[in-house]
Amino acid sequence: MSAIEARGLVKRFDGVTVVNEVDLTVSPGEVVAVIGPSGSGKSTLLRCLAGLETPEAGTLTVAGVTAGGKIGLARALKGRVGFVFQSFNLFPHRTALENVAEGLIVVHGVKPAEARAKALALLTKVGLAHRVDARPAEMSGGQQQRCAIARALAMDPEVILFDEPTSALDPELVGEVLSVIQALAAEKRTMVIVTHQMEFARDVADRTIFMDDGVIIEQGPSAEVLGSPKEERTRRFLSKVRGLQP
Amino acid sequence: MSAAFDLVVQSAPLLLKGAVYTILLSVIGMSLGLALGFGLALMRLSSSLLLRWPAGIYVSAIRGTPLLVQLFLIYYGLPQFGIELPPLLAAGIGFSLNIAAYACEILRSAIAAVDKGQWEAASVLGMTRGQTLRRVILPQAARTAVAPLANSFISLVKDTSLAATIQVPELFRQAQLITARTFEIFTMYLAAAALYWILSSLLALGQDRLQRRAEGRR
Repeated sequence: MSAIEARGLVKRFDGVTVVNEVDLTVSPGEVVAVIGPSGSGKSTLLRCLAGLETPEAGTLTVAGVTAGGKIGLARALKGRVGFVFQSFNLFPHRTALENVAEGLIVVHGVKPAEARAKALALLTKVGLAHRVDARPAEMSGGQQQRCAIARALAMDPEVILFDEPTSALDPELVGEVLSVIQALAAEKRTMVIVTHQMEFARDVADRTIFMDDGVIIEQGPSAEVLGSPKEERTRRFLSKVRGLQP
Repeated sequence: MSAAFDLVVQSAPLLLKGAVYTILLSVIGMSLGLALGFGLALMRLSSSLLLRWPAGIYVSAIRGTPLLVQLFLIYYGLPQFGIELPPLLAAGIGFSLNIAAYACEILRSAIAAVDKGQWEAASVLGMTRGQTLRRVILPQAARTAVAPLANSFISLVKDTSLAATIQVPELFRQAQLITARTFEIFTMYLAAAALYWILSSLLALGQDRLQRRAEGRR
């Protein structure tokens, strides 16, 4: 069974169609990169997959949960789909450890001591063992994002969605976050990553999707889409991003 | 001068007794008002029109009419419908209902000021609306709300003097009664004013500490 199965997904904001009849299938263990100009609908598509937006049309099944039930998709998923935000969105009044343990305690009903032990293990995994008691305001952007990844991992997600995870970071902090994501890819985790880091997409993603104007223009093995794109729009976008003349 | 001073000393027990009522009314008004205001704030933030509307009208009506008129309606108006409340109860209800409207607006805007990303982060973890409110949103909103709520409380302490008009023997009323007996008008009202000042200064000090603690943990 697919980890993500979307058919004819449509999302409009105030009459503007942002995601237009998108079909998307992601297999377990697959890493998919989504690229495209800003306003192409890639973030909105990702947010639909996590239940943060409710599509106007289409069918969607993520991690075995079908959207459209009585309770919202996000709540029904109970963390089975992890979401990493561009702006981290850590809970500012809680320490790194508490941030990671929160979902386990509140949603999964895990005993606090057990949840903290798991949170500590995950923070160690993302290289933050020394920052367990730090509050978000005391951490660098890179540390905050790694903590946010640990928070998503704590729920044992079947799929992890990344929404431009390094776009809010200072250039020198991008690497530490990308290497954590790379390590997750090596574990064969199912991930969809919206990114502007083309080299990273090529290295880590099995498949790359190029979106523009709310539709998927082109998709295929990352090396092909990023190396020798078939579509003119993809070529134009890539050369713009790489700073070359179109 | 010393005669005036003697009078103040002599009337001190009465004034202090009045101050006890002032504090009592303030504390009752604030605690009940805060609880009621929180409920109203949740109603105003609800997605249901049926909850949002009544709360909105209530807040508008309370904030749009003088507190003195509200107290008169409760104490002098309700008996016409057979509801006769003792002065202290009438004042307690009046102040609570009044503070509730202001607390509602303070809490509502503090909750609304919490970044939308916080709701989203909680939602992708699978937290319910109630869990999110309790564990994520309210602790952050509380910090924003501390200063304006403390301001409301300090205003309330002074506004309780309006209860004198509905026979509550609070600080200002005591001063009035003593004045009527002794004709030392300026001295007595000055003494009452001083007591109000002391009370609100103490509260301002407490507000300062509370705020520093809230910010220290940010």
